[in-house]
Amino acid sequence: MKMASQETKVLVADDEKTQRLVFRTILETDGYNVLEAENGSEALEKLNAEPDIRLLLTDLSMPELDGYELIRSVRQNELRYTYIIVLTAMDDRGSLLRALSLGADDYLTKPVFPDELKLRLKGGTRLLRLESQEELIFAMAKLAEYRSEETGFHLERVSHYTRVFARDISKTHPELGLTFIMADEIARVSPLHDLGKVAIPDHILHKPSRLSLDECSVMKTHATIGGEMLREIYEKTGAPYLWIAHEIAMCHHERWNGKGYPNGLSENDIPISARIMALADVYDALTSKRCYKDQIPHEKAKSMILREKGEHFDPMVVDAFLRQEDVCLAIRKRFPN
Amino acid sequence: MSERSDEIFDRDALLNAIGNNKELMAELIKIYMEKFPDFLSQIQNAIAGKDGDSLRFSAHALRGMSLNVFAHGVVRVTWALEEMGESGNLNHAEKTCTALEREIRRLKTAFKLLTEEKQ
Repeated sequence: MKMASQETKVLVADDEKTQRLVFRTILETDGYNVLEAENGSEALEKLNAEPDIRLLLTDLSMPELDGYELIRSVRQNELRYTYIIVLTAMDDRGSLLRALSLGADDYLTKPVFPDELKLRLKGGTRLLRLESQEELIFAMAKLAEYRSEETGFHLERVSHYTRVFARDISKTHPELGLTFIMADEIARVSPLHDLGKVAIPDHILHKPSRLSLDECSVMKTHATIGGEMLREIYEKTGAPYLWIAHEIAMCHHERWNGKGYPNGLSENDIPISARIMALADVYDALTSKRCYKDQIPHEKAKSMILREKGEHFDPMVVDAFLRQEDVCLAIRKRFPN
Repeated sequence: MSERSDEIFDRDALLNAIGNNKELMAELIKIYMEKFPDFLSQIQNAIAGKDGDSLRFSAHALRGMSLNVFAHGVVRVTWALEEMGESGNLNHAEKTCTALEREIRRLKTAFKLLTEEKQ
């Protein structure tokens, strides 16, 4: 049997030590990275802390938070699909049906045999791979990047900046309900922000001098074009992360004071994902060399951003930027132009 | 007539299920021996307190652990206790608990024989 990738993480939630030990032993020899939780609450903590856990094996009867509540909570909060396999004792049909109706994908009956366990996980991995259609979507982002000639590490830097700002806000403003999982999702879809530029004619996109008013109007359509494109794919697939991608593409040129485009949204009417993206994108643009402008030093870019606090930018995001200034500099150093 | 030993504990099935890993088997048995007294006393307390929910939960937990080590005798009796807890009818629970204690004694003997065999 083909070995699973070393990175494939499986979370085993079971209050029973023998079960966790059996799973760990079987799965580690097959190359899985096995994490353990003794109850549902601990499992949720692990899932929040490590968003790349996509496979969950859970018992149903557990103290503190049982398997049913765990499934319910995972399904309510997930942005990426988690494949859930429940463990049941023999002839526990009622519990099994309840778990499946809450969103479990598959089940294993105790005692679990290694071959069956591996095959069930393989099924789960196959389903998760279907999600890799997202890879195609990200390939589109790369295309947009190549066309706009914003080469180098623009997308990588912006992705890191957004993660850093979003995680900072997640910690400092818990009332917003912006979880670490959402923060990472914002970062992951951030490369799609300029997707609409694929539809902008070359003579405008590549013009080395200032754009005329008409050209500027055409250029501005990239936000709506990208936003609509992603909204359509979201409506077809129902994948929640694509909604975040849509928000970012559509609204990253909106301004806190309502003077942005395409819809002149202001303050909290602009999705938080787009408010974060706006600052990350501008900071990167200021501190990078482009065909029409030189690179600006960090300190100058910082003072320009500070001047726009409460105007162009959400003050809360600016504060996050200030708290994470050193991290931004480190990202710039790690991904130079 | 004496009961077949694999009806108490099926060593071969356990080894088969864990890829013939004898060290893991020893570890599982060790954990089982450490954990079962707690489960047993939870079951006894639930019966004494006529607490059906607690009986169902603790019998279910012991059954799950016993399934993992293929301790069929304990599985059968804990299953009966779990169903009593579920239905709330604990009339025969004390008698069944005595049967559980007997099954656990047999299981301990089977585990002990296995350890001696190894030595």
